[in-house]
Amino acid sequence: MTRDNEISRDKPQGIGGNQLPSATSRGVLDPQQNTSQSLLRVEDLIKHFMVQKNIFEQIKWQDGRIRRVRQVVHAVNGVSLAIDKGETLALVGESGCGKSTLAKTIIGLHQPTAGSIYYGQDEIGGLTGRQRLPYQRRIQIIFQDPFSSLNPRKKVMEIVGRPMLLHGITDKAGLKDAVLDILAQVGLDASYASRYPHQFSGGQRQRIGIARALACRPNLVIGDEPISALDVSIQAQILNLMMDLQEKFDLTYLFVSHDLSVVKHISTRVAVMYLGFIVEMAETDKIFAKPNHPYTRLLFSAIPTLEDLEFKDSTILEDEVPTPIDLPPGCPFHPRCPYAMERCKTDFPVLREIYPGWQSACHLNDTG
Amino acid sequence: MNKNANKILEVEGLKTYFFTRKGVVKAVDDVSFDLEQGQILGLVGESGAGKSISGFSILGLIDPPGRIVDGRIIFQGENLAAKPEAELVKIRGNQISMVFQDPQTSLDPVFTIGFQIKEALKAHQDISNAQTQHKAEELLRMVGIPSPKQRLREYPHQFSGGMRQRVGIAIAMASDPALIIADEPSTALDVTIQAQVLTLMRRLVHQRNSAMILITHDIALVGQFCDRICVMYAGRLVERGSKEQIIKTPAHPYTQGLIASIPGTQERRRRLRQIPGMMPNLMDLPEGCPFLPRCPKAGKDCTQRPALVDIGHGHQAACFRSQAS
Repeated sequence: MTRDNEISRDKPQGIGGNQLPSATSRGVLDPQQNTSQSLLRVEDLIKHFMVQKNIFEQIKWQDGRIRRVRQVVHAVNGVSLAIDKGETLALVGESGCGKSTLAKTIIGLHQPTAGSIYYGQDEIGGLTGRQRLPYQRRIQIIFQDPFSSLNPRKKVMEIVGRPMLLHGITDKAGLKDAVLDILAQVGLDASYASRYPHQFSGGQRQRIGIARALACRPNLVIGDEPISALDVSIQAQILNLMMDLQEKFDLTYLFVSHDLSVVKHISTRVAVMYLGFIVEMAETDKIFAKPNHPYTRLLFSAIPTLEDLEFKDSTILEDEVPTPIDLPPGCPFHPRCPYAMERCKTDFPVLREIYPGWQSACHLNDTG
Repeated sequence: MNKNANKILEVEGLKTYFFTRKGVVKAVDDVSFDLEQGQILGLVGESGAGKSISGFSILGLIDPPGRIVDGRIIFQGENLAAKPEAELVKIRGNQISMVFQDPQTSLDPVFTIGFQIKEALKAHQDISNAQTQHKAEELLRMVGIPSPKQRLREYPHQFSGGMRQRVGIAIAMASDPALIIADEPSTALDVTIQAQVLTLMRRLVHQRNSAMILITHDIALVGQFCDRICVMYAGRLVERGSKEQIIKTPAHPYTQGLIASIPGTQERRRRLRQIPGMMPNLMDLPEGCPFLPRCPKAGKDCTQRPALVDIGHGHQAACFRSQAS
């Protein structure tokens, strides 16, 4: 994917500053400038988990004395991003980078440790229960595994119909028609409504999952690796369905995935996460054409492509991701970075705009 | 015999059926392929295509109600399909070894990594304890695990996913096998780690002049790491050839559809070309070509079963359409 491995320290031609039409004019927002128009905004979101959840797990016998051990998983470390109406923002990164945690925090499956989540103008990060309900309808999720995310004891009618009743989309009298309508939208036959999940294949189950997400007419749909559990020939079908539905219902997607060729196809913007930080965020065609952050390049270079069949005897880094329990000081990527400087070991690189609508968190952008 | 001097494996007309109460599942139906020293063969297909069962059949790991019904598996001149279990035990894990999909479940959590590697060493070789310790360290070093002496004393949970898969590879390599069967070895891993692990496996195969069968659903991956490719669909081999032949000029409509549906190569944000429908139930296959119900090029003759025939330069496809053109 990477055309050149050198970070160009001068302003690159072609994608340099002013030649771009301004980001806002094309409906793509710059989160720092024009926050009022974005559908969902996340500010300095932090989500930490305790490894030892209670006092009994925390007490350990170490070096001849009793100690209290409290380790923290730094899953999401101060993420700020804005999702604009109608776009598909892809969240990519290796497993354990916090992308799923971020998605689940946005939808309310985790409570944020700190930071805010705004839906339009309203802060929803701290809301629970009944207070959250009106927003819950607006943000829905499609899960990764269509086998574990559908209740095996409920018929499709109940799975898809329950959110509709809960949010008052329809009453009991109109329920059947409403469910059949949404099933038709995702390409499922009306006769399937009275069946149980085990009677379906993986692709069909994922269609049910999509129908459930769409049942209460959301604005934002979060896809947490929605196609990675499916067979190759089914993946294209589900991707096509998701793109069709986006157009038809004017949906905004937050697409969490590790599959970069899928991301390249479906997304309009990409945010790359590493150890709970966003390290780069830009429009899809630009970031794939010329990734800025060394981590983005590493990630992109690892994708097998059909164009280039030549075996590359690894430009790949041998190290693996450090654990989010002990974050490295300075830049989180410096232990694996081929360009790491002295400064990277101590100074944390802030995510900042390098071109309009393009953010990257790397000290190399400061020099030259 | 001379012509096949460096052929490690020849599978001919392999049929592995499962005799279930509901009917006969033809998981592998008349599959043939061969493999030379130093070669990596990619076996591609969706789940249920029969690729893993083909791999298990070679190792004789088919349990009832499954059975190898027909076919020959010639490994170094001997037919494994006709061998009794007692003799297969000597070959399995020794001359042919396997790397499994999930490094999480293929290692035993209650034994140290060292114990498990040494167990593999002792199973087939008559060596002293001191030698196994030395050899185990060497194996870990070979698969790129730092400070092997200390790591041998650790348990699987202390290793990351990529490291665990390296241990799996080390165990598979313990007896210096002539053939390695890797069943989706990188599916559970991240892309960056996947590249590391497969690069390592490819390097080892070439260094030791062994051979490998890489079983995967990822056709792009196979294009990168294999020399030759077999495409399976519904228990049958539908196409085989060199990686250039399969990726650049696919002949079977299924392979064509599979390659065309891969995102990233097409114009962004447009509908992807998709193969309609899904793979048929193996118990209820259509007459003739198994791909018939989904095939855009299907004709009347497709109700006859197409044989795998050569369409030029060792490129073979089981499709009447590809033969005509």
